[in-house]
Amino acid sequence: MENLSNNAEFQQISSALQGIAVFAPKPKAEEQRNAQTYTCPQCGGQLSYNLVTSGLACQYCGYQASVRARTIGPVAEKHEFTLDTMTKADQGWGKLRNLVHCQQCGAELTYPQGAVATSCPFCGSNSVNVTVSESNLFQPQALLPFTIKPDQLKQFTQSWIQDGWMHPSSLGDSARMDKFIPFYLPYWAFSTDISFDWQAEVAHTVTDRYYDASSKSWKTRTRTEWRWENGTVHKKFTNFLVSGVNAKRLNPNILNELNPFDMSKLVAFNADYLAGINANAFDVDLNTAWGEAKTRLREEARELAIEDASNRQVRNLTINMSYTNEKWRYLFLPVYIAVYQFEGKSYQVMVNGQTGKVFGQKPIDWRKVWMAIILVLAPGLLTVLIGLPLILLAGSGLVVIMIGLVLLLIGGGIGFSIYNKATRLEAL
Amino acid sequence: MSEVNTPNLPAPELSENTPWMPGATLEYCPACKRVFLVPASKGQQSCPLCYQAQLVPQPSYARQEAPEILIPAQLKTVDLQQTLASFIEWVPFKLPDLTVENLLNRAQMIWWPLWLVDADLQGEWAGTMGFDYQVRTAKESFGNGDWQSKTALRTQTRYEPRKGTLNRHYDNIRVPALRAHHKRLEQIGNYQQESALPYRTGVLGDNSVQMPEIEPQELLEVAQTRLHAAAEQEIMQANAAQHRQNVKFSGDYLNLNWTQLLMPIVSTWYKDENGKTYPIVLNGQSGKVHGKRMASVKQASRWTLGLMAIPVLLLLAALVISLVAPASIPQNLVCGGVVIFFIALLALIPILRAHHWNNRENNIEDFR
Repeated sequence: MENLSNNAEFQQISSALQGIAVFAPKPKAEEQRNAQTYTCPQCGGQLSYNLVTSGLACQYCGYQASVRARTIGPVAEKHEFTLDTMTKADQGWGKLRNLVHCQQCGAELTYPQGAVATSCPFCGSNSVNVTVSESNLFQPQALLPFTIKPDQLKQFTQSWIQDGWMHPSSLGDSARMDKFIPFYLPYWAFSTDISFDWQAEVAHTVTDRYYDASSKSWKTRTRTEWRWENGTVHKKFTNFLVSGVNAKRLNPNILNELNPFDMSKLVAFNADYLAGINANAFDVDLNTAWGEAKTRLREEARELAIEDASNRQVRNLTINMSYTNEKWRYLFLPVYIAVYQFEGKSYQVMVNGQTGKVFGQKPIDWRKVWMAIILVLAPGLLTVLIGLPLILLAGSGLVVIMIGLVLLLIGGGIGFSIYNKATRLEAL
Repeated sequence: MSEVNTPNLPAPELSENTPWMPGATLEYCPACKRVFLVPASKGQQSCPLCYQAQLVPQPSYARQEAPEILIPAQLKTVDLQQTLASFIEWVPFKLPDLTVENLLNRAQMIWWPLWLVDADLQGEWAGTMGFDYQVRTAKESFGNGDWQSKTALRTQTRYEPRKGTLNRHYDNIRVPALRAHHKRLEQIGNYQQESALPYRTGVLGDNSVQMPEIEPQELLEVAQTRLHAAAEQEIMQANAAQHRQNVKFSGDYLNLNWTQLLMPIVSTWYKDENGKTYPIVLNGQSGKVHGKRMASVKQASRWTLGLMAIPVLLLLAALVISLVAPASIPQNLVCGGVVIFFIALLALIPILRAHHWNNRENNIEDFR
């Protein structure tokens, strides 16, 4: 008989019946994440994560240490929306404790709001504190290390800033993006399966032949016939990202444009990656983030329903949707953030620290935009203007006016699209 | 599967006499091979279950211990009368012997057995336990351009490995004592075990008891399976789990003790015109009936012959009319022929109905 009392993997737990002893697997020891201070073991200087060497390095004596990376990829632990989790989330678990004791000089540090990594202003040592929660539940479980080196940033941003004709010509020369700050941003990654039934009236174009009594001939006519259709759609979403940073602090439109991140490269959380690098804990809580994810998923569902119909033109669409296998995880994703000045105004730019994708705010040169709109409207206007006297003189101007109106219509469409794009870019 | 050590059962105390039913004799039915413990007051009688042969004394040994519990008969005479009346109500061409009065007069109660096993289980177990938990989810609906969201709860199950030790006593685990136990329950329905009472002397009345057909030694494996199932249920309770999978037990089944539970059935019979006996059996607790309700072929034949007389008379009448008025012969012959043909066909219905009914009843399995 196996001696269960001495079993290394199982431990006795309480039993609801006398005479039956119950042994359950020993729980995995919760990783204790205490605040860590990074000082060089050689010279006592600052030790920080070096984005070039992808390891810890001392900027004074050149000491280097590697970071133990454990790639976990898609198997990174996911949590469910259990009642316990949701209650904790509702109660504000995971809220940052912003006081930490510097292990190097003993100073009591106050972290900037939301930050989990900082440097001690007294001794200069870098410290990382992710013990933000009463349990490990709301601590980051994984992160994506920076793979874009700082020296690559100029190349990426230069081509981005010169891209597009709506911006001031001097932007490329004037905008100075010298200081890119590497930042680990908190993200909620959601996975879920959605299933829904939809029903809608779908437009079908029908061509009829009919006898026209007035002209005494057979003619064809095209009309739209609305037919009811229905369907069922199942779709799996994995790593549906929602930023954990309050929209007031970082522009969510820019953040969304930085997607996608390659989640197969996720590594288990290790505080070493954060040494000397800015990192923020979430300030958008789980419930709020899941609410935002669901809002986006609803739109995805609506789009999927329309795609499922035999024609995209639908009306009276109804959908009944349910979620299954809803999971979440809390991640840190790498982003470079820079701010540049142009004509006295500040503009925010972000670079995906894994893929190098750049997105940000750029000033709009409205003179160029209006000029372009006038240019696309001009052919139509001119043609109409030519057509008007032709009506008076020759009577054949009607055709010219008609062509002019068509050109004007096309120009109007293009002009509206240009205006729309310019407004959208400015509103970023 | 479980690795078990089962001790050989101690030889039961056997004797030709049963102290719990003094004077009763063990009797055997040569037709259905069932053995009954018949009270002395019954005298010689035919088999109370198959009615195909007279019971003959069967000198053999019976276990000495009295039954432990029994399920009391709850069927009153009024219920029995109503049940039998509705059972035979729709029988066509009823046999003269198939009457409620006859069935009631011939009704007798018989007790039939189920083994009860007590045992101690000692050993180790291992398995996977399932624990229900709830997750918060949402049901969304879209219509009139708006989304409506409703929060909902979904129950999911988390499975975890568990091990442990077991040292429990199990009482009255039920094991069939008859080979046709399950078939019999299919035929007359289950008994509500909650109403079982402890056995007391005299509680069986002046009624025969059917003896077990399978001895405990043969039933060890079945008993172990049932004990294992009971232990599994308790292991799940001990874990406060809601589900279980692959629970294995390795250890000993100790102190096995076998007693009996007795259940009541009411049996009666009737005879057809050829003298063949048909038993009708009822669950002594619920009153569910099983048996064949045969129709009288003779009565049906009489009806057929009676109806056949009509076309014959009509045929004769047609012949007389054709002699009196020869001018209308062709029309009379055609019309009369058609009418006579259809009446002759109708006359066959009683005999066909009786045959069809009896065929169907004959397909009903004999009481097991």
